[in-house]
Amino acid sequence: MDGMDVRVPADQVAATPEAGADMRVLPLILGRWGPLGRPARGPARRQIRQASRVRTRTGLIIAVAYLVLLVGWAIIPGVFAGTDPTAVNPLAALAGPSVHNFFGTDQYGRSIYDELVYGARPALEVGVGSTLLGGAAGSLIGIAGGYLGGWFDLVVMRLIDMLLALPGLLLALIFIAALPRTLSNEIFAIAIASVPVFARVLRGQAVQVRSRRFVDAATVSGLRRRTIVVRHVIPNCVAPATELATVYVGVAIVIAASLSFLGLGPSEVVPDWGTLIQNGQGYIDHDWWISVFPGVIVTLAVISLSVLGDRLRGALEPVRG
Amino acid sequence: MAELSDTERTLAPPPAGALSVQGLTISYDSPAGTRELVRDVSFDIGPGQIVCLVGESGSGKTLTGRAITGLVRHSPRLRAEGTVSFGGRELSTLPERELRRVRGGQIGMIFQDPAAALDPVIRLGDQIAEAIARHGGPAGRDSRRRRATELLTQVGITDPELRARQFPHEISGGMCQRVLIAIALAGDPSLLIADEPTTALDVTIQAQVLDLISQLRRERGMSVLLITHDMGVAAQLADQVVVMYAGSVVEVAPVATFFSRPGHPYSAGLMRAVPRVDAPRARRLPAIPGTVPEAADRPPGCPFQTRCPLKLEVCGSEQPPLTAAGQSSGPQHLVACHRSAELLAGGLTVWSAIGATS
Repeated sequence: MDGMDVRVPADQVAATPEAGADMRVLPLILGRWGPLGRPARGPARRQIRQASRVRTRTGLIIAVAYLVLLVGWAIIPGVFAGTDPTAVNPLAALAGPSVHNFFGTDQYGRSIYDELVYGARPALEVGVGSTLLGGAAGSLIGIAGGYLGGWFDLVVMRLIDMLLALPGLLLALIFIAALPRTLSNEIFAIAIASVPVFARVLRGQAVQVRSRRFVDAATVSGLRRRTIVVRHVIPNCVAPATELATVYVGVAIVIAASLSFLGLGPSEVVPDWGTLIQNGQGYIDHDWWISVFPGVIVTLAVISLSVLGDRLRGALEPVRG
Repeated sequence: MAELSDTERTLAPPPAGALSVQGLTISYDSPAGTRELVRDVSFDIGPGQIVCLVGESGSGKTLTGRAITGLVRHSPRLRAEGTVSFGGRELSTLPERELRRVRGGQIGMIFQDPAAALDPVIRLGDQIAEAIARHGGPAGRDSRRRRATELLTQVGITDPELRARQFPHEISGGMCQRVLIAIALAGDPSLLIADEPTTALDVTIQAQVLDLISQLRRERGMSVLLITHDMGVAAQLADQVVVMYAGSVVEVAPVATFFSRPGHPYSAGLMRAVPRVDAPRARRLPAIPGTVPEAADRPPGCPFQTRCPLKLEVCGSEQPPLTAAGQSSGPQHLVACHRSAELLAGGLTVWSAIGATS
């Protein structure tokens, strides 16, 4: 919308030769009336628009393509990799990246690539599952607190603040330590860790929506509070909740990987991403690929999800008249 | 009007749309103590009447409007006292559940900044249908849609089917206000509270919206409480004018009396401050010097004394009560000023000629 395509970090603009060569773009980067005194007009402005639009859209396309690939891995891993990711081949142990094994093999000769492909399903299950569960619970708590206010808000939000003081990983760790190591328990533990985050953000949004004029208008047209919450407050909280949820899927994947790294992940036959990173720990000085490729895969997932979340918010945010 | 005995007064069915506000005081609890934002406000609206509540920003007009519909109850730090009776019912003590039926059903309300008063994520037609459903409108989605379209036509929106499918950001501010009026009319109210309905609109659209309000008043016999700071609007539409200053009512008068013989120096100042197209251009626009005192540092006595050119010693100690002024022939003219008698007798010039005061 307004000026969104104009506010580009300077390095992105400079990367496009036509725009970078033209000094008239500076005021646009620095604000409408920059030190050069006059906003760029005509061709310079158009160049910037085009350059930035192409760049940001490229980022989004790459992010979405990568996420689609991960979802493909999770749903139909057999298409992308061999049928048995746990096939041990001592003769090919600790082989570096090659045509046969893109990402090399681990100490048992298992293909890192195959293991990563098969590890996508538990990673996404934990990421999406815990975010949906914890996000729904946290959002409801936050919206209730923000809309109702009063003692409920005060008590619940202080509890949430206490939880928020602990890092998500630590919170998940406390719960997982007390539970049997299964995938669903891991989802539950990470969901609990996400509750305070969602509650905080959505409370803020609900407080802001509650004070908007249309809530007054709905009240004076005689609507019940319940109707106002369901029809007006919640729909106006969807945009930030979606953004946060998308980003949090990445956070949950990292927490899951961290738990596995610490040996607290679910005990499954197929190693998950965190277990892979941990496997390579002892070999990191020579056989770096065992840990580095899983790490890269996880990092790219987090970046892609945050790019997507950012753009989703832009697209979902209601246009204000 | 013939005098009614007490029993007759209680037995006579109260006319629909009649509103009586008595001794309305709205206070705000702050750490520094309780502040009265609105102080002892009383006025009546007869059935089918348009009453304009005028005054500067911060005089408590909007808060008064919100108190009538019980919106003040929803603000935890505000307290409203006094009585608001509407159609014979006391609204200030009505339980929330019943008050909800009055809101929208018998009292409709529209706001300043119409675009913000519509939910940005809901289609206009559905926002109207919501109000229709709430107030015993026809059952069924389709018939509610049809009713919504009817309402849109009534408020002068062309191509209502298309508009009903649009979102608030797709239509202009003037059209938003019309849609809000349609929502307010959904429950067929007998009183419309319009809080600065035209402030956010440009002049030509303002006139259209005001015309619509007075047309609806004519057709439906609806009473209107119009909150405005625009004296032109008041002159055009009002039957009765209520002037508020710093939370208190300083003058109540029928519109003709008000504009020909204002009884309060503040009213006179407001009228003088209206820029006129036909007047010679002065170096400075005439204004009332100073600003409305904050609720915290309102002086004892008359609230207007800090800016009043006619201030006497008594003004600093005693708040003048709202009393009948002038010859009590015809409708009531109430003024709260120690010097209103002199003022109305014509012996005083309140504000000197343009430019000379500043």
